[in-house]
Amino acid sequence: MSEDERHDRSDEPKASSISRELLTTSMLTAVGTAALVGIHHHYRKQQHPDASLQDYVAGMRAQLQALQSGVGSTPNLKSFRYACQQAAVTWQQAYHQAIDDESNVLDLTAVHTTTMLARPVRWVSGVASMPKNNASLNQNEHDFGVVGIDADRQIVWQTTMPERVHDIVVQPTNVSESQVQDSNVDQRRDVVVMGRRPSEKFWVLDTSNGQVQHAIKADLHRHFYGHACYSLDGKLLYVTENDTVSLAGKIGVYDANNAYKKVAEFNSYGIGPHELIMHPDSETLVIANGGIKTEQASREELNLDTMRPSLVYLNRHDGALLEQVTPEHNQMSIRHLAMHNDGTVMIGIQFQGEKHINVPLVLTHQRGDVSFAPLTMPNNQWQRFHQYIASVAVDSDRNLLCVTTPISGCAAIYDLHTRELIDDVSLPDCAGASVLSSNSAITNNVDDIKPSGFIISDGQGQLTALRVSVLPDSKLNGKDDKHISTDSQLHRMSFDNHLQAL
Amino acid sequence: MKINHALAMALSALSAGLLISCVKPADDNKSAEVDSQEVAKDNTATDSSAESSKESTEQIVAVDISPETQKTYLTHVAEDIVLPAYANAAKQSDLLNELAQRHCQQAPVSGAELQALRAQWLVLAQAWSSAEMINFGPATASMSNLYINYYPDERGLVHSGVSDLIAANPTLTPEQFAGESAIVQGVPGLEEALFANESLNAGQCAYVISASGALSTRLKDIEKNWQQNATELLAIDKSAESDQGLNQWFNSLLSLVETMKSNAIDQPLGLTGKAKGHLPAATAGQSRAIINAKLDAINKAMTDPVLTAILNSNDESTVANNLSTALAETTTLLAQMPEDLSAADKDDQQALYDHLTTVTRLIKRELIPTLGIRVGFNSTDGD
Repeated sequence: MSEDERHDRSDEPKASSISRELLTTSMLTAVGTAALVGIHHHYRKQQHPDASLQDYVAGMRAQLQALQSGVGSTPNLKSFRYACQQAAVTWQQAYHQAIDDESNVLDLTAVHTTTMLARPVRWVSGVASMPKNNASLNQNEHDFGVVGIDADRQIVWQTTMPERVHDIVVQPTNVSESQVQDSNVDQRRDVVVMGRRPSEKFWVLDTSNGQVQHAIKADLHRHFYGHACYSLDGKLLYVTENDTVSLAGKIGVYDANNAYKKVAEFNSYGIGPHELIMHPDSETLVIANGGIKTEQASREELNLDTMRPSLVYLNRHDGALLEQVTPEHNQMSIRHLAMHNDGTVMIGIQFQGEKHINVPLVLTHQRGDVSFAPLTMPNNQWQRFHQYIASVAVDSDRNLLCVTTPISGCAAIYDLHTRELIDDVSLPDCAGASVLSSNSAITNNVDDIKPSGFIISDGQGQLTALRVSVLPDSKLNGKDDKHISTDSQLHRMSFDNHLQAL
Repeated sequence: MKINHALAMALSALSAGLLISCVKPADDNKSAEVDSQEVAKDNTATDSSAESSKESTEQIVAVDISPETQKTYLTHVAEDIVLPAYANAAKQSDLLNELAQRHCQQAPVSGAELQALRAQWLVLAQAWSSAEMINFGPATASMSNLYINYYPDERGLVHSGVSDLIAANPTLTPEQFAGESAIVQGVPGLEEALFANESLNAGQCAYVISASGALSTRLKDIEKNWQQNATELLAIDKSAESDQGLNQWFNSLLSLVETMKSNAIDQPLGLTGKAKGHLPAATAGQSRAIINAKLDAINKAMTDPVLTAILNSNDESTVANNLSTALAETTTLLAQMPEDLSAADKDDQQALYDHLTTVTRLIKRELIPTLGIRVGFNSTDGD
């Protein structure tokens, strides 16, 4: 007998013992797993009579498919993390646990219905009409809601709302997206959903799953004007409000770290403040005073002949007026704003004067300028936009501006280098606009620049990606002619005025 | 405890945790459309009206419209509804222009000749009111419809604009007129010239000839544009991949009812708030005829046999019947009101408004869901 054979024979009992141990451990694991799942299913069945044991297998299979379909390791981790979040919510619901200690949580779950998938959210949008089969669950006549949208423009979660909503405001992170991905930092972000003016409510939702965290009611003699913005550190929320006694515009300041309690109030130095945004200096609030006077619980315009819209810069800490600019025509209501990284304010106008008067509807302004600078329109034909700009969105990296106009049924993109219109695209009932990608993805090679663009939502249920690219022929000719391509995803819902990128 | 027992416990906890965390939500077993997790049901938002409650609890079943059916229907809309509407408006404008050229050879024009011009204007105004059901495409691009119908005119700009223009240009030519403001052009401008004067002088005659000629040109351009681009304008070529054309068309019809209800009835009559603006064709005292023309256009579109066949394809004729009944009742009520709706009894005015509200609700809550399309959001009130 060789040395090797002796060695092999002495290993046989050891190998057999290990096999037995493995078998025993596996059997015990299987029994233990079955027992735990069985207990979970028993309690789950009490809450959901339709629940079945097959749900565990189907759910596992779905998660595996999601992992396989993901690209790269980070999205996989994200999917798993969201699956865990979903599980946590399910667990909480199954055992009647409160989501947090807020006293109003039970009320919130009574008035909102949330449905969700386990996928990361890229945008959040208001919805004017939710799918009918879901709406029928809650007898909600108007089917208002909010949805989370993923990178493939699919709905991740949807939450019903008791009234029509307007602005969607995502809390900024104080760490970059790349840091979040690299270090797997998990930072919960709020999204504030403003009621449509003259609403007395706004809601704070969790961006990842759409769960309503807080419902905030306006103070006595105040209503909201539909828009808000966070300080760049995400700690304070600034909200446009109306003093229903004096009808003067106000800016309410709410503490995001203290259940959105109102902590201060400033004058907006105008009437009818609508959208407001933060300046990149992180110290200055920029406010669109639309100029239109309205009373409590009313949308009737009381002062169209005498209105005085203005763009106002305020010190965000003490509300001190820093600068105020008025447009060339007193009926050019300054409504919607977007901020370029270089501090240029992009302005969308809604003209309240006679319909045949042609005034510029897209303007820009920088601190210190005495007046607004209009962008250019072919043949100066601003009536192309039917006197109404619904949203403005700016891609600072590529110097592009997108405006939407539902009444004329088009979205238009401007080149901010030349200030000229690149083109407009027919999109009936479109309003919401946001950048398509928050990731610049610009390399040193010009040819490698990822096609830029915007995402546009409309009342017919489309989420359309508008991508701007330079025409190959024009490149050869030394020109820089740009082209807009479109790609739509259809959903069975009507998207409302605004959507916001995370 | 043996090590394999401890390991088994840990592995059991881990695998059970994984299975539990990934479990498919139970609500999925109810709805196949979304992987949903119902957190809470809304028990608070209820509709006070019994009618609304009934509507909201009834599940609307969308009919299955194949791409081929959609294409056939949209082609029918383009050829048999849209193009004839514009063609008729252009034809009536041409007739007014011809009549004006004939009668205006010797100004002043009054009596039977003026009455003939006024009658033809009313036919033209009704023709355009019908064509306003199409609120997209070349007629509305860049607000060009303002040059056809500057309405509502809350400040009475048409009245002063037309009289000022005629006073400043007593020998107005079509070429001069083409560059004038929208407030002096189109149907309301012609109404002002024809109805605000007991007779037409030479300057007013020149205006009527120029304005009707310019209007004809605009209407023919729109008709021609539709002839050339109907496939694109109604997204007929996209029927296979989307319902964009159906959405556009039915939201356009809905928009006509809502705009008529708000701008042409509620606001001028002050039914739900402070009165502002004026009724359509107020100078002519023919507001009923204009509302009737719009209602007739909606009625024809909604009771169209091709549409009715689509709606009845699931052996369910409730939606078509409800709409037809509501529109017939509204038309009957309108027929009993005076020519000038401002002279009607306040209760009748309110009843007309309420009837149109019913029609709006039926379109929004029954017709549009049955067709599997979506109600666009109302973006016209300044947000």
